[in-house]
Amino acid sequence: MKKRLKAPALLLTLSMTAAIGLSACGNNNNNASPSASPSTSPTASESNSPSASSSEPAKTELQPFEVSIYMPGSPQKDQVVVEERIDELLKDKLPNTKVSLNYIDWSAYLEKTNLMLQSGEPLDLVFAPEWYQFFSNAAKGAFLPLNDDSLAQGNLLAQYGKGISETINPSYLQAPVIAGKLYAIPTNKELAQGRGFAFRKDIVEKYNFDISTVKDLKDIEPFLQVIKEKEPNIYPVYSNKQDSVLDWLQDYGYQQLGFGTYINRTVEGSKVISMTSPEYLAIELANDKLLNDWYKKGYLNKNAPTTQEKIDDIKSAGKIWFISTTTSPGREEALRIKNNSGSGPENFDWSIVNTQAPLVTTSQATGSQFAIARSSKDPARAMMVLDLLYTDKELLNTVVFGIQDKHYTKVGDNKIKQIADSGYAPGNAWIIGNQLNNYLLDNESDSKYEEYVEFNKTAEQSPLLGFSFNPDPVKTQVASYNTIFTEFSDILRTGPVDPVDILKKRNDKLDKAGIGKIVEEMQKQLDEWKVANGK
Amino acid sequence: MSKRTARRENAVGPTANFLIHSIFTAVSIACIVPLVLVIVISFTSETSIINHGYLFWPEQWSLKSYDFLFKDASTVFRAYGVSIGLTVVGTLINILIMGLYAYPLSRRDLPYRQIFSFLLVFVLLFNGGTVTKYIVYTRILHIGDSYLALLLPLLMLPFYVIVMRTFFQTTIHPAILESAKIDGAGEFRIFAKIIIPLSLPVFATVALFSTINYWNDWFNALLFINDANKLPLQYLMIKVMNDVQFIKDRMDQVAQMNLNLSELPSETLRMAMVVVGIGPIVLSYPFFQRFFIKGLTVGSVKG
Amino acid sequence: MATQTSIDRTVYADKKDRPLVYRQRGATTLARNLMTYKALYVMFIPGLLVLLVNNYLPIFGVFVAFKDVNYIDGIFGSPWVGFHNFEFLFSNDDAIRAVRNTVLYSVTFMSLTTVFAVTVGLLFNELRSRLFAKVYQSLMILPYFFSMVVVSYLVLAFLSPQGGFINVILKSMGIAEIDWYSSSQYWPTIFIVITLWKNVGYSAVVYIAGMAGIDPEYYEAAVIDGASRWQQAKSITLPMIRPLIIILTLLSMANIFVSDFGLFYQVTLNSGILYDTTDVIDTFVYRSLINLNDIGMASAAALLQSTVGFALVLSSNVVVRKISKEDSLF
Repeated sequence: MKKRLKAPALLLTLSMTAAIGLSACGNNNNNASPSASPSTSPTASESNSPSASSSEPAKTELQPFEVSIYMPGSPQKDQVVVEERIDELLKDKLPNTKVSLNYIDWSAYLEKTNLMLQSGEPLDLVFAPEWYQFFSNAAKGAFLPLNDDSLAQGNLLAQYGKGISETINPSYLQAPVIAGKLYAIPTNKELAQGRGFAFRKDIVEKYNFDISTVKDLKDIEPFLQVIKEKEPNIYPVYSNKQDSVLDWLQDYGYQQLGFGTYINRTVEGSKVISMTSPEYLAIELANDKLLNDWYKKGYLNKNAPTTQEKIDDIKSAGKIWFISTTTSPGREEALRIKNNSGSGPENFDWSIVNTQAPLVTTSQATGSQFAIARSSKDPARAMMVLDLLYTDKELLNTVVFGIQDKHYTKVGDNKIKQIADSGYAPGNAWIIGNQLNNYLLDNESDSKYEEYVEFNKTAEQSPLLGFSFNPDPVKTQVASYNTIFTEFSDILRTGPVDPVDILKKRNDKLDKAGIGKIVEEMQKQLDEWKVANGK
Repeated sequence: MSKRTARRENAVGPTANFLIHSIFTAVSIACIVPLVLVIVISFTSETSIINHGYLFWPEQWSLKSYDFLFKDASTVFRAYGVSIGLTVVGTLINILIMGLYAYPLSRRDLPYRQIFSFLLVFVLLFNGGTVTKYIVYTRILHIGDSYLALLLPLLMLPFYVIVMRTFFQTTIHPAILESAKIDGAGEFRIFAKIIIPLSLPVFATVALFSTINYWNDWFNALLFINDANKLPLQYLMIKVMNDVQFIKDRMDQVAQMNLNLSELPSETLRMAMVVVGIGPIVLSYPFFQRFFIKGLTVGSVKG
Repeated sequence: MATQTSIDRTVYADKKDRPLVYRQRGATTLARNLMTYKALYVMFIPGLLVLLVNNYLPIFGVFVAFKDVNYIDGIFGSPWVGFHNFEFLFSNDDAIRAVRNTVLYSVTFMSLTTVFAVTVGLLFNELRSRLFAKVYQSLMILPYFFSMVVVSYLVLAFLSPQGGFINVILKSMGIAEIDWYSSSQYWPTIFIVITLWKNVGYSAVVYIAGMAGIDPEYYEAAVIDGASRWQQAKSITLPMIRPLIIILTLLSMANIFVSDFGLFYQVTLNSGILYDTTDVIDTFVYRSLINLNDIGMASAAALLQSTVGFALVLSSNVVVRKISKEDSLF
């Protein structure tokens, strides 16, 4: 017996020593950054100096520092050359400041940046949109508050982000907020997307379809029979597990809050309901039924539930004539796709019908943004660089497009053509800074950015803009919701079975697993938020 | 009948032999056909797949996937170099330290050896997860973004150490060790001169598994490597696919990305990647195989 | 059988002085043992160092399972939350289904793979031609190199409801086509076929190596005694690889709560309609944690899997020790 005890005892000692060693290390890191930064960074003197009057930071006092920027994308061959050019550009505006661009592959970005944040690696500017777990990371303290006077470096946005506040659409700064604190600066671009359908122009013209009558999915039905009879090579309706025609339907007034909860924004009172409630079920059932009906009538591609094809390949092959889609300025150009079918026009062009105007919600306005990591050694400098990305056109375009005549050529005053395989084309135009300052690509419409500005003016602002849900108190229920929802979602989105029984089964399971608790918590947080924000 | 053949040659009779060959032929076909299919798909044109699905003789052949993969040929060849170097060095170190660990474990006379067995089996089960490992590698050892970060994680695989230990226990006669000791040989000398030569089959097996592990590993590259020049082949291959997949999965959130996905590669590319990735390992296979097949057939050739 | 006893006897001869050693206790014994076996202990050092770095230093990551981790306090300073992170594993009926499926599949795969791999090894031992042995073996290990994603494409090519190879064959024989991806009853068989196809060639390598290590003298002696190949397989080959079979089985107990995520997620195309027979712990946990970004819950699931595996390994090891001490793990 004694003999056997030894091994675990040894183990225990081993792991204890390890734990002590490591925790000490961890503490060091945590203590190091906040205390170290005021001394190395110019903030202390900066905040005393009359920064209120001059928007330019006091240049002479800046210590040498390299601001690291992390964003998704393939690492670029000419990164170093571009970094050198950026440093040159910064020489006058931010002396002693360098920038390192860190592109991390799309598929690895989330995992890698989370690991870096968790292990306290010193990062400065991190691309952190809502769909990269921004709110949960911010709630857990991964990022620095940017408008917090009590921060060691002071209110970063007010001191070093003047240019941002002046250029960005003000709706943006209401969104990445938790408990009154701003945790990220969104990219200035189109504020939200609308929803609608896109129809292939050549087909619409050929059969003289009046697509302007389309307000909802069911309005498309009359066209389907025609396609089925006359176009044997086209699926009247195409869906697969990744892209279903049910994806971008109008929301019928129900704004999604996440984890199976909604509010009816057309009525007063902001009452949270679950997807299992009769009023929401009716909407879901109607559309799922329609899809199943089309499946049975042979309109929908039969392989919808199993196919692994990518929808764009099928579009290219000329087998799709309508899709559901998001809408925004320039969307029609973005949808244009090469015709690989062997006959017909060179490209397929699409006409868009809007079914819902853009609604600026928290998740829409936080779809592309940068945060400053808590581990940053000099958050003030990070903010200064970010600020320049909103105001300095040359700097931004160097980050996005590289160097003139090496990576792109100018074909117009504000228009460029990218040089193929030039060694720098990260494709991050929509990711960083003030997109309205980007050069236009040769295939983009001259008025793209004016359209953005106009579009943003017409966009409707959700009364809940700025509200975000913290799932922590009900994470057990959320986990159950996740498993149950995903179990049934594919089958409903691809139409092979009658949805009545499936929805009933799913909703019974959801109710049993405690979706009511999520609704309660959502309502509670929403009410608290409304009180706190005077809404 | 078996007795008669045994006198001439220690082997099964012709009927049994025929049966065994039939079984193996059937199994081999089941194993090779999918590979053939994979190779054919990798040379099939996308349009052909969209219109007709997978066929063993496609309507239209295409080299497009390989063009895409080797578009940046120097990167691919560098990645080949990284993978080959890593695999060779890693495997050599691995079999050495695993053998060194397994040999004392196999010695039934060694006191406290249970503790060392336990230490081994324990880690087979419990691990601290990616985050703490990442902290240890990057914050304590500071080997992030270096080849060491690719080499270390796959060293000392408990499962194979136990396999080696068991092999030593069953095939190395304690009397041999005893007589070597009487001749004055030290333990390291015994290990080098007796254990290794007598255990080539198991060393070859473990080396094979280690080779496969190193060759196929991409996850550690994902975690630790930022320098594009240090990326191993499999990561290079897999990231193309993963990036596409990732963007697809999040299409709703990235709808504003304006990416034209039809330009991105697809199934044929995935298959081409398998072909490119599997090549060297299949070529290296006979090298390992020698050691255990040689041992095997001795029993039936002699008689 | 004769060979077996001769090995046992020498082992015993080796052990003769052990009772003596154990009778003396305390530090002097420890020191003397360490001195006597100095070289053997030194051999452990490189391996131990690697284990320390790779496994023991990061191992307190398991504490994360009991914490609500935040970035300000770091992993070590974050507050403890007891078993809160484990709750989702017991909170709905699907979890029970996933556990049942996982265990059933693990046990089935484990036993069938072993039986098939050993059989393949034994049959290999009977091949008269080295060339054929090499060819067969090279081909049989091929499936192991396919990732599950690739396997999922291949399986789809066979099972697709539209023109999948199998349905084409069924149709040509006048049998009704089957919609494989919505009929959960077929999947246990499909999984077994895939697992055996993919892993038997690979697992067999270990046994083949084990057989290759058998001293040819045993067979020569058996031939002189007039033993047939069948008798030789039964009384020499099998007993000689028995310890290997036992050890590998013991080790595979560790994974009783773990399953190949790719097999159950990708190959089934994650088809919800099949979950009755395809949802396992790993896929269940994966789906549970979508959008939750909670390393605490992820660690909790992993810790539970490890603990069950560990308990099983330890208890089966006790059983093995009772039956045959030499074959146990420790």
